[in-house]
Amino acid sequence: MTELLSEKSLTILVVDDDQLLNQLLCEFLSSKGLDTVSAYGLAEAGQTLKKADEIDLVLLDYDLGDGTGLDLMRSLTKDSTHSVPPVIMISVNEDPEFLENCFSCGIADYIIKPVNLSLLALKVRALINSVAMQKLISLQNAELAHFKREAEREEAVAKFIYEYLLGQNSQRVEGVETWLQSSSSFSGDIAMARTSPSGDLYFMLADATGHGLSAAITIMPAVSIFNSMVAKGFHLQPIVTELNKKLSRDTPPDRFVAALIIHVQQGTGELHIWNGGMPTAYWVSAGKILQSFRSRHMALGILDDHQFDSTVETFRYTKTGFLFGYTDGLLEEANSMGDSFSMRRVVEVIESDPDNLHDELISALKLHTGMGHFKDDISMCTLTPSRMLIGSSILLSGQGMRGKIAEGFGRFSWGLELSGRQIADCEIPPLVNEFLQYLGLEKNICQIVFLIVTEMISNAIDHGILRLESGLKEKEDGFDLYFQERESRLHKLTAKDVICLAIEWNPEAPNPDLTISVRDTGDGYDPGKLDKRSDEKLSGRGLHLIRGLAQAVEIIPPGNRICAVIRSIQ
Amino acid sequence: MSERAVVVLPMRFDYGYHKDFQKQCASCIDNPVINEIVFDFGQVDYLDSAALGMMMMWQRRASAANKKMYIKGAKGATAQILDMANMQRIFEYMT
Repeated sequence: MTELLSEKSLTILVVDDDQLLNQLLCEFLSSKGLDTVSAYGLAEAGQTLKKADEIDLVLLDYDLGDGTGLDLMRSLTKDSTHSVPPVIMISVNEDPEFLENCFSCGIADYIIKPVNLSLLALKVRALINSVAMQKLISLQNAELAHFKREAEREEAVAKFIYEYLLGQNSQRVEGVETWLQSSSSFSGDIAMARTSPSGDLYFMLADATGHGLSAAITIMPAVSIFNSMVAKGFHLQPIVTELNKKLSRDTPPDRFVAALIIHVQQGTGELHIWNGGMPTAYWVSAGKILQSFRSRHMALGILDDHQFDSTVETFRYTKTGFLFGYTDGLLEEANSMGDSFSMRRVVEVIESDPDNLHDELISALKLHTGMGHFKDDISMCTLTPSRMLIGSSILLSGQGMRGKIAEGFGRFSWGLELSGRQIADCEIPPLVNEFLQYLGLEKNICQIVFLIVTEMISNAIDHGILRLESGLKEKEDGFDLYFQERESRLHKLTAKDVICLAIEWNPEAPNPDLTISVRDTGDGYDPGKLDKRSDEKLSGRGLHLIRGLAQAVEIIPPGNRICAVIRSIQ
Repeated sequence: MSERAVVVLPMRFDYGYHKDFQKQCASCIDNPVINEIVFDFGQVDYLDSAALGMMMMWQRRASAANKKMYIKGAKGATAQILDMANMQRIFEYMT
């Protein structure tokens, strides 16, 4: 009859106690391509409807031998467990009250006897179409509900996994405060804090292109790389280089991650910052911005290795104060006039020196936009070094730090020698750390060795091979000068510049010891001169730290070889 | 012979503009006569990171086709955003 019908033949139940009329109706409907089932009384019709699910329409005569059509209607609506097919009532009665009664019992349509066959055909067709349409709609509704449930379930699972990943990779660190609000259930912003084997804080605030799930996916590779490289003891430069490499390779060209990456080095009181594509971060003390760290680089995941610039800014921070960084979501939220919050307003709030900068900024932002909900992901972070009980300060604060090497741990020695450009390119401390962890040495021992090696290597490179005067740092502007000079001298390394590291565990000695020694091809420096420096002076801190961690330290003349001995706790 | 094409960007340069942007960039890159493409930011007063992403993507294609891309006329907040992203590293600025 119609397209809807052609898919599946439809079945009509004809209920009439008049055998001849029943047969006539069936033959007529069959001629229209419909399947028919006959019932000759109330009881039989009821049974057929109960048995057969596949009745699509009922033609029901009012006067049945054992009851009326309305009796059937009542029993159908009373105990129906499944949907009742539409019913067309056939009767001689034209009384409006009677018709009303029929409709209130739930019939779909009505035909007066004698039956006009072409009218019947039209009504059947119309009803069947609407039934088919209803079936289709309810089927689609069910499908839609199913998809919605699936999507919600998927999202919930993905969100759980994403948050788990973040949770696994980030640490709660005293002195680090973050404020994050995402515009959808996934955030394209992340803030991660992690301490290195030397106990220094590494922090990353990152913002991926766009927001929601696609942004979250972009940022995921960055999370685990940052975490594992910090844990291995890498410095900021190789970390940002690796992040960029990974994101360039694994994400499409129009996807990238702006990031503010910070290393708080408590031993020297230095802050190392890499800002690629993020709003200017500030060092703030008592409502004054003492230093700005503007974005000097493109975001991560854009430039090729050879174009990428991993240069880090170094800043010696003041005793009080904090570093404040944020994502551009904060700047770009606009009010109904299209006027964005802007850097000017951020600075105004900072300079009002509020007790809680994050809360103050958010209420200022809400006041500005007049809305409680934000369009983009917004994140902020505050790092307060004076509140951080981490880094070498914690190691040196108590009785110093000791470790234990299990009795019977076999003798081993490990070392390497580097020359020329490799001295600049190769990060030795992470290698040492990895090796010792691989051997299965206790965590404290690994950490002590890592700290000692870090200080020895950095002394050997800076003051030995590069012959940099640490006094330079104390001068005005000396700080930047020092790092510029360091960079330029690193570029001039030749094969004659050599650095040697050896680590040896000697279990046979009467007092088993672990010896770490570093030798360089520099002229050597006078340890006596270094010792005379007061501890307040930062440059001598490296040696001071080594002395605090080792049981014996020897500087071998002319001062280009240093040897530290660690004894295991018995 | 070399020719310069100018892509005039809308007031609001975000992902909503990507179809137009794509069409214009593609036709410039496919056209062998054109070897310089200028993004005119004169009218732009809003741009988001998706826009930066699109620029980056087309810059890559342009440089693969040996064509140069320029930024022109950015001001106010737009200039600030381009600056923050350090776009001058891969786009030349034109006055």
